[in-house]
Amino acid sequence: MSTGTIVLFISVALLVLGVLIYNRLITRKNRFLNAFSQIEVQLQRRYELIPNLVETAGAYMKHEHESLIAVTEARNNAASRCTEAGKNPDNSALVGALASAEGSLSSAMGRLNMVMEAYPDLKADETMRDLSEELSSTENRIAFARQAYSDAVMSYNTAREQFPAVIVAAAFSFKEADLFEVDSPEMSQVVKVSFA
Amino acid sequence: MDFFAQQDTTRRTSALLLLVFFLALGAMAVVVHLTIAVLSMVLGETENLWQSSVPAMAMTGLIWLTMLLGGFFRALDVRAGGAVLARRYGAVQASDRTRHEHEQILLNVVAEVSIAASYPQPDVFVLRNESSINAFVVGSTDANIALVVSQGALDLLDRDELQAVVAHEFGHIAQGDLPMNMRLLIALGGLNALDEVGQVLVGKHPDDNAHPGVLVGYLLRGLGSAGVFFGSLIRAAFSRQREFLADASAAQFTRNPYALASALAVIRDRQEQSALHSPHAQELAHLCFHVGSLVPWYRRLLASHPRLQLRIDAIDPHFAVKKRTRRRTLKDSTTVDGVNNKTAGNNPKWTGVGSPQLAVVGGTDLAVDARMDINGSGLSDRIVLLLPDESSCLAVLFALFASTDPIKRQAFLDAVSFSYNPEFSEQVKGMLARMPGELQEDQLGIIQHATVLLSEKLMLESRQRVMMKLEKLLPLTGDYNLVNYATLQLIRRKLAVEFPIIDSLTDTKLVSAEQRRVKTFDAMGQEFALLLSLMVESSGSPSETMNQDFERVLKCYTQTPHSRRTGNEPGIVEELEAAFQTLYVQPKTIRHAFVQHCIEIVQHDGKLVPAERALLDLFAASLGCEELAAAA
Repeated sequence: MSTGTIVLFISVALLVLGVLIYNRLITRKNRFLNAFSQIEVQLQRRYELIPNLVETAGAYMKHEHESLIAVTEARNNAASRCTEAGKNPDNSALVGALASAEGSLSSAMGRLNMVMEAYPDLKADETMRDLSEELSSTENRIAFARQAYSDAVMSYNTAREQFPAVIVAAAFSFKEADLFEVDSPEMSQVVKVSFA
Repeated sequence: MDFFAQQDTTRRTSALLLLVFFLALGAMAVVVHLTIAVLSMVLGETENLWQSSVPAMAMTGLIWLTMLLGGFFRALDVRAGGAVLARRYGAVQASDRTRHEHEQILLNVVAEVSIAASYPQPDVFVLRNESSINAFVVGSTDANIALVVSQGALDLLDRDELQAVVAHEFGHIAQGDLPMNMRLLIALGGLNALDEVGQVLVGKHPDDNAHPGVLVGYLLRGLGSAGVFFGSLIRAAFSRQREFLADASAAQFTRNPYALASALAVIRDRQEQSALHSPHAQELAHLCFHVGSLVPWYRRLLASHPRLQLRIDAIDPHFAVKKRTRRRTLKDSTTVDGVNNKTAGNNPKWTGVGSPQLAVVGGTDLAVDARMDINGSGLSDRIVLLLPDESSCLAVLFALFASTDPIKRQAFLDAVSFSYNPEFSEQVKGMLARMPGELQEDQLGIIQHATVLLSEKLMLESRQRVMMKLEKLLPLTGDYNLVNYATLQLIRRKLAVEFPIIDSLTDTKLVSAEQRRVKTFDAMGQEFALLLSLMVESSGSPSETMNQDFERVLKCYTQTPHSRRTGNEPGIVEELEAAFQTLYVQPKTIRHAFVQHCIEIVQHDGKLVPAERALLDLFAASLGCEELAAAA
């Protein structure tokens, strides 16, 4: 076997390896980008469900207009913030504003849920049951979307930094992805409901 | 649980197993060629091993062709696509427009997990007629995967547990188990074809016509079955690793390992019923979330799923402890909740106010009931501490039947010492001395704890032996009453020993063909009357109410008046067994209705004493309606 053949052989092998690594990085990158868009989609879904909830609850809760209005206002505020943040996901100020709007929406929802406890008819209503299942499902989806985003970012970053891949990543400028961390305290706060 | 680390380990192990599988396939090819070469040399076709003759080449060709064709047909089968396969198993596509509330939840859960796993949603199917808990994924490529969930899983698991089960299946999808499983199946299909062609060549009577084809047939059969055997062994080991991997992935997706462990525990507790009932059970077995129960070690080698306890331990080694503490807190909150509902129901004026005094009284009442709950939600710590191992559990089961009368008790202990050994009798005596209170008041708790432990530790045959000893022993004590009989049957059911296997039941002398036939309602009046009177009697109500209940319910079944019987008549146990035998063959709707009536009688006064519970369980189990009693 001549030196030429050996060199050819090795370079073909390297090329194949490079293509494999490149494809792997692309897969991971798309995965985390998709995960990011999922968060937004699910937030929007929640905003669409809330008016229905308010309407159904309003039929039963004649004397609780304040909490219903509070929820509606918080929802509208958060929805418009979400649209703004969705256009410029890089702008951390916008994302922060969305986070605080989300926080106040959550606490308004928490208060509404507490008030609804006093209306057994409302809780037994079929539409209401469907809606609360949908809402809790959506809450789960938001949580999962954020978690999937973090997992995807982690697996992408790990793949990018490992040895042979790091060369490919540098050559094709695969940048490090950021974890979706919101440092506003309202976002991470869990609404506590006490029956004391 | 560090699920990322665990995923890495299982992934490495399964990669190794896969390598072994394909090495074994390669080794088989070498063996095939060598055997043929040696054969052709022995038969004088060629002079040495390296020279190939026409028959040898034809033979090799035949073997490879068979394997390829076998694999090809299997491939056609498994490539049909998930939805087609799911429908073939009798599954119905889940839809959010159905009246079934659970299906909406299932679809939501699938959507949630698909986000968590960052994987497209598969088609979701439900096995509506399947009451066991099961779930599996079928399909070959990403686009046509179907996720199938049994109705039992929808009914018996709560939302979080269902989510965990779905996440486990997503784990299989995300880890690429489906295409891998398909390839292994195809390879095994090829090997299986070798065996089948060999079978055809050998024919039914190989001695009658000894032509050369028979020799080739034996060769093919030997190669094929050896290949299938070792292939299945490796595939099973591989599949078990993938189960652990899917569990770890499920924990990663939901970040809720507790729910997964809890779902597995529910399946483990229902193990006796978890085998699939659909006609395709055999085919489905390798896809299922869980198959079979306690099996001997050699069967475990071929099992596609690891033992549930191992899986629970891998997910969360402290699951049992967490479950106990969580149950306690849950019970406290539901007790208060339940009382509020109760008061609200009784006095509509008081809605939502809830007098604290009532809450306390009702609270203790319900707590006592909860302790009697058959699922043992309130197992007392003393029982757990005093019964740590198999021998103590075994002893306590015998101690349950000891009489309070000192002479009869001694006779019972003597009988135990005679049929087992004196040491065991001493142990039973020790049990009686150590926990006299529990043996009287918390029989169900004891049975629950002891049988769960024994079912885990003992094989089915040993459990059957224990039951047989108990059965033989009881009539000897001269104290064989209805309560003892019911307790015995409860233990039998809890030990998952088949019900009923009592000799007298299968004895044709006692149960004639006439009695086994489906009868009209009226003709079974006597049986219904007997069962009803025992049920009514166990409720401990005043005699007035007993008579009323008895007549009211009996009217639903027969017009002929029957007198109420009592439990201490001689020979009542035999009569009861005969009655079960007659009623068991009646249509399920009748049996259901009857058990429902029994539950109604029992719950009439709002509480459940152990005798009622034991009898209700016995009736329900004997009439094949366990699920009703469990729900009560």
